[in-house]
Amino acid sequence: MKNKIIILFLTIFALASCSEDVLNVKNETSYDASTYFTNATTLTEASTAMYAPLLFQGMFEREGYYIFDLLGNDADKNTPLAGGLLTFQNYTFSPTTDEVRLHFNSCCKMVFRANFTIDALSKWQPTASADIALKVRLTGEAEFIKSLANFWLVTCYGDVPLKKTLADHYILQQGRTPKAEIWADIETNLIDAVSKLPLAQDYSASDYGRASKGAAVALLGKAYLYQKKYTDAQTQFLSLTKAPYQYELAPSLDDIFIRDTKTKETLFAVMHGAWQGWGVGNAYAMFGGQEQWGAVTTHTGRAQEYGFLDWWNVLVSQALVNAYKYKDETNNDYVDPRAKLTYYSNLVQGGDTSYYDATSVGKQSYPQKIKTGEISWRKYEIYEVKQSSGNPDSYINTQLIRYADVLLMLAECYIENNQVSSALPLINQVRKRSSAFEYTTLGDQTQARAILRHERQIELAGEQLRFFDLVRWGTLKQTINAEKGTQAVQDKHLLLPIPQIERDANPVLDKQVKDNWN
Amino acid sequence: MNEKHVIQSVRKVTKNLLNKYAILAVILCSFGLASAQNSVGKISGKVLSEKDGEPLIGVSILVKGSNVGTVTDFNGAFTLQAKTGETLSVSYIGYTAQTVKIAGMNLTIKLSEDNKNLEEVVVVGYSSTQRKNLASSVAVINSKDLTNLTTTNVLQSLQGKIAGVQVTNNSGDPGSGAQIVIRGVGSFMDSSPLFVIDGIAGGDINSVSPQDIQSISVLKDAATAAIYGASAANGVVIITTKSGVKGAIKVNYEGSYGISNVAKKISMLNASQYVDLVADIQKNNGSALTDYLKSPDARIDRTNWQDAIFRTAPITEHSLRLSGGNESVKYSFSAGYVDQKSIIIDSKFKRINFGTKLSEDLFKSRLKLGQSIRISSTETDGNTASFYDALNMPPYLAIYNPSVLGGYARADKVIDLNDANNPFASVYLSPKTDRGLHAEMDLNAEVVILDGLSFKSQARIKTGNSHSQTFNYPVQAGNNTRSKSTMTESYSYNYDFTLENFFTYNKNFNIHSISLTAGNSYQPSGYSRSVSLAGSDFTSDAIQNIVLANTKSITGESVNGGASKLSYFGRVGYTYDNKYIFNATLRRDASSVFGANNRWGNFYGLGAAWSISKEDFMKSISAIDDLKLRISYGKTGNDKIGMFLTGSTVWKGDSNNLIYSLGDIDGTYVNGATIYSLPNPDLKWEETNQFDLGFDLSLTKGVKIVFDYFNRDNKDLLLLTQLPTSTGLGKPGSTPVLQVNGASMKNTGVEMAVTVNGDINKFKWDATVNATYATNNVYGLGTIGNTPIDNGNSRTDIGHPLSSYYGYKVDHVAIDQADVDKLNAIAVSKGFTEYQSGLKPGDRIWQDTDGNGKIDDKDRTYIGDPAPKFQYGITLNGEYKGFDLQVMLQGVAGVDLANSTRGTFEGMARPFNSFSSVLNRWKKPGDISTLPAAGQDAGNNTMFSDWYIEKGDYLRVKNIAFGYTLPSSAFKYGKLRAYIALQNVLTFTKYSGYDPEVSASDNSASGYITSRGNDNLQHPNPKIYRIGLQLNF
Repeated sequence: MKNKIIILFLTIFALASCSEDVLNVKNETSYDASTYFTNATTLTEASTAMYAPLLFQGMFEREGYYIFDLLGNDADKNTPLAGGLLTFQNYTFSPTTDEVRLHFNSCCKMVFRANFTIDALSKWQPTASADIALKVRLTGEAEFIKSLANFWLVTCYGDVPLKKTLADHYILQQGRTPKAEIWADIETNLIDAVSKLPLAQDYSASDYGRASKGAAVALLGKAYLYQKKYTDAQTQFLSLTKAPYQYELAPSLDDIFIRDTKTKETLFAVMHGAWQGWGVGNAYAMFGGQEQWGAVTTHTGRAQEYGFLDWWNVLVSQALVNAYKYKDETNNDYVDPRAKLTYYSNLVQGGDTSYYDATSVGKQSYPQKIKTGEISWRKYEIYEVKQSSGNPDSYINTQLIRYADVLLMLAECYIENNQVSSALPLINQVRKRSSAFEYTTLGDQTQARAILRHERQIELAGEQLRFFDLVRWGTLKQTINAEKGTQAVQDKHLLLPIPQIERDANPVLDKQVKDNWN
Repeated sequence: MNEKHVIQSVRKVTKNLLNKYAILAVILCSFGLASAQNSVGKISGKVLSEKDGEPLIGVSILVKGSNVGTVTDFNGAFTLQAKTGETLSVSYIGYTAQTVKIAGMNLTIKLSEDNKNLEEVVVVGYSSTQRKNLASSVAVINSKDLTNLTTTNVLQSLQGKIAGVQVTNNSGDPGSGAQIVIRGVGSFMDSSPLFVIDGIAGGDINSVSPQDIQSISVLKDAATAAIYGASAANGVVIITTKSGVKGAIKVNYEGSYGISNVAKKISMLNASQYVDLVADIQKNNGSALTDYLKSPDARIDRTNWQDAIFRTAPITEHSLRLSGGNESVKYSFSAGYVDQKSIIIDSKFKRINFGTKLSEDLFKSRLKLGQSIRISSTETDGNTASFYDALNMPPYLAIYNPSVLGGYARADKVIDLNDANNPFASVYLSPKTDRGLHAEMDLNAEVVILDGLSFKSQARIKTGNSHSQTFNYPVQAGNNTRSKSTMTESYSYNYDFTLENFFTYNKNFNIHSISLTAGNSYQPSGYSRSVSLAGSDFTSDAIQNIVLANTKSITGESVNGGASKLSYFGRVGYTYDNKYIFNATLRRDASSVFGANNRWGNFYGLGAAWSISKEDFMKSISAIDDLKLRISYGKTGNDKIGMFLTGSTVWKGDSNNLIYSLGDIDGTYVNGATIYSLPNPDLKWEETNQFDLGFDLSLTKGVKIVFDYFNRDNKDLLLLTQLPTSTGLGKPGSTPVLQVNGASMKNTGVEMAVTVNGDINKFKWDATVNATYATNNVYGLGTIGNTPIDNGNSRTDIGHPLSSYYGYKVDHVAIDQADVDKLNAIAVSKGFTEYQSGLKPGDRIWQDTDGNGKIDDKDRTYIGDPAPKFQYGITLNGEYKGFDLQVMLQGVAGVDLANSTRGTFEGMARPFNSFSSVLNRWKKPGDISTLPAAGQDAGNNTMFSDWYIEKGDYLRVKNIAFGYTLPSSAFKYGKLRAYIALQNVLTFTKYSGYDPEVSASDNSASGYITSRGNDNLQHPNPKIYRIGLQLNF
């Protein structure tokens, strides 16, 4: 018996001293990246992931529209606006303002995901012709996304550590790269992207929303424009008005900003989908839920955040409202018809006076706000077509580059190149769509420039472009301070501050930051 | 802390070896094989305790020079075949053995207690040893010290009991856990100790009912803990559950009923004061009041939201244990039941524990088997109201409003400017149930190979299931509108297995005593599965089951088990003449969380002790009964980091929700995949090198002192080093981090426990005081560029304690424009435009700590330490004629808390209700106040600063228990005691929050370390008043 027991125990002991294989625990939750990104399906996933940061915090589910609408004084604070967002209204944000960090963070993540995709694609050696074509296209998309993010980084933060390849992301402490080098990298990537990307019309319906050749051309043109390389920019923009491109203005701004129709005006937009209900996604994913809260959403909170039937955090700034009232060519007071498309107000202020027009509830007037004179956003709101649900469930795509913008940028190139007459039909083309009177002349270069700049303000209101325009025109400080009647904007505000969190973790860069700002 | 229960049970096991002849005799008898001697008669008798005349059960009786023997039965009686004139040898554990000459046919033998042999036995991991042979710092709490406490959680019962051990409740909610820190936080990732239950490491402490605990040993220094090498860096807590003892069935019942309520409420603004505050906030932001807030209706007080959510809550507990045994089989069955309501509406916690413990001695005690099962079933019904929401609500709102979807009044951002959620809506419109079932099954077998050499194999299966469901009715509360019912459910299952085998050898050669242990331990990864489901669109709310939802989706799942581990260990102990004690421990551990190159770690412990009082030259000092000096040094490890960090994993979003809407059909989600982290294949074990120097002193006058100095040097600590955002790494919205080994810090301190006892006439009393003074200092970060680690309000940097509070220092609130101008003039003189960006009268002025003339980020500085420097506990026991009294006090000192509630309720950033202290806010130029102007530049004025920091020192009367035991004359069937127990009745503190016992705002293992002391409305510990009954027979 004793022997039996001893043998039994020694057997158990031997079993427990088993091989070290037990220590090789297989990850059953996540794939191994080194073997995963090796086929058409997974590399397409890698490319889709590059677009996802457009929905992150700091981007267009939330902070992105607030930051730049407030900085450009398109939007003005309303009573409920509070916290970090309020600091963009009065230009008191700082290196520790969280919204700045989030914006910077999301831009950097886009660059990373693009470089990651390019790196994975470069290791893929497909043989099937469809795969070979896919590799070319996805590389082009990645170059576009990277350039878009770098465009925001260089325009908002100036010199940032430029990450050209995946390996650069593993340089943990990289100093600042001069702006010129970043612009050059944007140009190089976009020129390559243009050669690789298909035309918008050649994409399959299920790929709608991906970067196309036209988007890359437009962004390249924009990069030239922002560097004041007007001739190069003009070439790019002009090409978009011709075949093979098929861009055209939508019949009405409402098609884009209210009805969310997939028009031929869009060159590149952030794709928002309608919220699918609590069972699928958290309606408030815009507060940091993207890729985190175990739910899927791509909608934007903008309609609820700005909407007067909802949170009503911001109003339309008085400066913007004033911009819709100007003199026509006969020096008579004129209210631009786009006022009605952009905001709700009473009759005096030219805005739309009713809402719920196309809903089952029927037309409701916008009277209750008249006595306090508050003017509310209509552009990007759903109130014309859908009742407020009390949840942020706007599916209206965020336009990043649309054809009207391209036409106005082209017109600007002509004006800056002193070809004012070539700018006239372009400006009129945009105005005509909204039934604004057509100019017969733009006057001299200075007058034309003023008209063009005014046209951009009212056509592109609430599209997060005015801040960038004012900065590149060199008129931010004087314009905003005059509009607000304060001296809030200082010279440093031409750039956002480098986020403190970046400086804390990157002493090399920190030493290059001046005046605790940029 | 002499521990008779432990001693007796442990000694019983060891003594069984010595008694084997007696047992053999019994076995032979039972098989009818005893040799029959015709000439002998039947001798019967009784064995009693000399002290109290109680019968002694299981006493061995052997006829000298023969194989004939027996043991006493449940009445202390025995019979055996013997002749008059023969000698019986009578032995019993804990009593002096006797030889008795048989003088008649009916004997009464009285045994006296053997105090000399009654040495404390300490469980130290894979074996137990007598305290006199221990060369290290081990604290033991026995079941007597654990009774009388109204704790449903084992950890809570350790609070204030042991020097060097700090226990902090996570929350006052029933069923919530606690944080335990032994000799300071020794890791950046997870500083929780290892739990060993009944000899097997890694048990779940919640599987044990507090009433089933026999003893708890805490291994504090490396010399003993090193036997658990890799898991022991933050100490080891060894729990031994009660076993059956030989004898008649014993029944222990304890039941109690009590009520609990909140100890403190904080004064809030009334409706009128609140509306004035909102008006002020609006005015200072250049905005107006809404029409409703201008109306007199808004100045009517309708709800005191604090009173509305707090309540007096009952607590009921029952526990029952049956135990007993015979020569070969011992059993213990127990059942426990707790039913407790939270003091904040409206959750109810129920727990049922079952425990079974069996042991068998077979083959002349050469084979011992043991089986035990511990099952705990918990259920939490309902939600606990959000404290935060309640305090935010406008006082003029009623609780109910039938016109609002869901029926609860709603604060509307447009009407009220306040979008707090009505806490009642969240509580009652989202009924929730969490259920958990946890079971641990232990099997062990020990074979005695040779005298002194034995081999033991022990295995544990641990498995658990949990289910949680929430049904959400349509509601409109704050910003949240839910027009249709939804439901979420989650299920989880886990299974873990541990197998350990080891040899032990104990032998005495004259004055040399040797003990050896060697073995291995194997713990595979186990299984763990969980899935979360969401359902919406219910046709009716009549049945709340997710299968009836028209839309269902999986919203989360996980499939991996934990790390797998493989270990080999050994220990050598040597004692010379009971004077010089040495022991050495070695453990080699491998963990799957590390890469192949760094998978194995070697850990060791060395200890030596000198029983100086046994030396001749000490004999003359009569005041000293016993004095032992101890010294130890050792290295332990920690592997508590996430799995799969050494390879690069694909990121598809938490629960595969990395998506983007491509395609022209609205609402289409297309999946994406990428990576977000850098792998670190070089990750390796954390190391803790601990030096301990101490002494144990017993004075003849009943005073015992245990003193230790410790120095824990933690190296290669695993930390998440912050990478620059510009790398583009990291999860969405998060700053990228990389797991590295790098940081180093020291925990140094002294701890002392003093026990005094006495007996004045019939008044028996004892007092135990323990106290610890310890400091923590980070001396290396090893991060990229050695940059400090920021976690919100805390910063970890070289030369400072871990997670020190870091922020601005308040100078004062700007009194008027002249005050501001004065500072700006200084700034201008130093070349700046202004002292502090946008500073206006009524704003907080920060201190220019770097003296450069301007306030910027560099003016932030270290403003407090969340770890208590000093902690203490006092336990007083008294007994007089059946009355007993226990008073337990516990306290900490030298600790700073970050009262984050101030940001919300004194910050006046947004129109939420606030503490009434804001009535003293700055209102007009000339006002001198500590609180700034309402709403004015709130982002700046509420920045983290020393305004949030408060002293967190407290002394709490943790427990008072007063009981009466009926004399045996009145209740002869056993012991009957009735008691009254009061818990948390009195707290002395200057802390302004609800409860100074603050753990952290995030109670996860790593969150506790980074957010320690941050009071973000932690639910306060309730005051509990109970009456109870104990019955043993």
